[in-house]
Amino acid sequence: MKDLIRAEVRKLRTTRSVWGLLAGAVALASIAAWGMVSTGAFGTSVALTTLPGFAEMMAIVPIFVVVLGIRSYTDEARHGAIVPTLLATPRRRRVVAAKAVVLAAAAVVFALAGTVAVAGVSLALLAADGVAVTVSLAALAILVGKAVAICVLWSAIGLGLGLTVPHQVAAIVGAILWMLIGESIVEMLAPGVSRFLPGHASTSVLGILPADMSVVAPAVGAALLGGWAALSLGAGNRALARRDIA
Amino acid sequence: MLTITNQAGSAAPIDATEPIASPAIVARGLTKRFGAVTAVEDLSFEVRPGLVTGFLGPNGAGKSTSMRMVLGLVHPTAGTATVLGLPYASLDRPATAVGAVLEVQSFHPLRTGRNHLRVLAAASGVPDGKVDEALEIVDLEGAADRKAGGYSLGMRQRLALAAALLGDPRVLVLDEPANGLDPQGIRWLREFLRWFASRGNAVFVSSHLLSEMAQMADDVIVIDHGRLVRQGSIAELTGGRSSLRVVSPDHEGLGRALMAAGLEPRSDDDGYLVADATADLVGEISLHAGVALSELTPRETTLEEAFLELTEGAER
Repeated sequence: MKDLIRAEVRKLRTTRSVWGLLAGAVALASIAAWGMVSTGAFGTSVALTTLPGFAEMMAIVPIFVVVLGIRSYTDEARHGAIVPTLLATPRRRRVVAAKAVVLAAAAVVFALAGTVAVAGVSLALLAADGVAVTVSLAALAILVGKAVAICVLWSAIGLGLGLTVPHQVAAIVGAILWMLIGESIVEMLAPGVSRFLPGHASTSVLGILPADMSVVAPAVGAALLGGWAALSLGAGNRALARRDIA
Repeated sequence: MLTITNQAGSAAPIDATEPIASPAIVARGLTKRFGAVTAVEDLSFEVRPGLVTGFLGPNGAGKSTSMRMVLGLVHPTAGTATVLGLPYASLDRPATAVGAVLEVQSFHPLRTGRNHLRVLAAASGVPDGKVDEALEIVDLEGAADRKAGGYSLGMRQRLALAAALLGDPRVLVLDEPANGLDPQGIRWLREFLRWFASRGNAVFVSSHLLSEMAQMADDVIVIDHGRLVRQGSIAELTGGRSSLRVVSPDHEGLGRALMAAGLEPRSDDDGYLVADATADLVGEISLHAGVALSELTPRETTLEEAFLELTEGAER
């Protein structure tokens, strides 16, 4: 398994577009933080972890993480690289497991980079406005922990999705549309149901909104998101196990 | 330019002292249906070590699907295949047992050739030093740090071969490896495969080009429409099938006489080809029929002819 993980790390590190995705996630999170700080009113003092930029960031960065997850398999399928991969490791579940582990690690990097970007941009702008920022280490640790958990679970959802829907463009476009507007449409059509969907579960984890028709309690949200990740990975595993690499 | 001295001169990475399981590859009743299409039907064959075994058939005959079933990439509808006595998926570190070249493009185009091999070295559990060794064997060191997407067809084939050799395998499975290679490249490949097999290893190589196979293989497995047509040595395939070329100024008369004698003459330019008949017999027939002969030449059946005969037979 160590060898396989090493192989997956090498794949990620030698694919330049991975860095592009990370840069995109950081850039969008930064812009969101800038927008939130410049339009908000904070008085003379504000707690860092209550800045709205973090909530925005945790809606944006998972989209990039999902795309990364989808591409983990679909890139290989598209370019034929899956053939040598499966020749080296015919036990396909092990390939999926190694990908999941490495994607989770990458998701941690994305979550941390997004958090640092939002904090950095917000602190700079608030300092320029003369707003004092207070930092609670405990609250910060919880915030970072939530960001990491959300991104890791979304990476698994993306991997499973790419394995199940190997058509790369369809999988990526479908996932982005779902995350941006799909769940909102469900919320309009069937309020009360949407809170169990992955995007709403993800929002629930943050615990910013009170639990109601649109969100559930943070712990329940985390369990739901974990369930979606397990479901997606399970479906992906099954799909790959049955697939003929013809 | 490829040279055979590269691999022969290197410190013989393949340990040829230990004999491998024989047969190296066994297929039993392999069948694959894709929906209503039967790609391979009840195919059984064996690939023995120490030989180059050619897998011959027209395009679409089911060669690639069969090879992929042997390698665990395609799930057979029925039947089994084993490599070195085990199903491929049960092999421990399969890359150290079997090397395969299946597709010309099997890499991320933006990754360099070296990085592609480094990924596979890690996945195969072989040390990174093997990457340089494999690059040297296929003479691709000069281009190793360029993006593989920019490689020529021949370079892609060599990169794929390098990937197959990473684990110092004892069995090579190659699907149309000569595609895209220049004449020197083909010659190098032929010599390499013969050298590889001569060390007690097994080579299973497909082609739709008979001339190529005739120079490369010891054994040939011929398939058509997904079914086995014949397995045997090249000599068996062509041997015992000598034919005669017979020409007469009285073309029709000769044809009638040969048929009357129970032979099956086939037109060949201005004369006939007659299978399984001696020159004595044909001479006698023409004498009795009063037909003068202007040519009577024994001919070795080429692999091409044997193949056509076999596959036509399978269609009937």
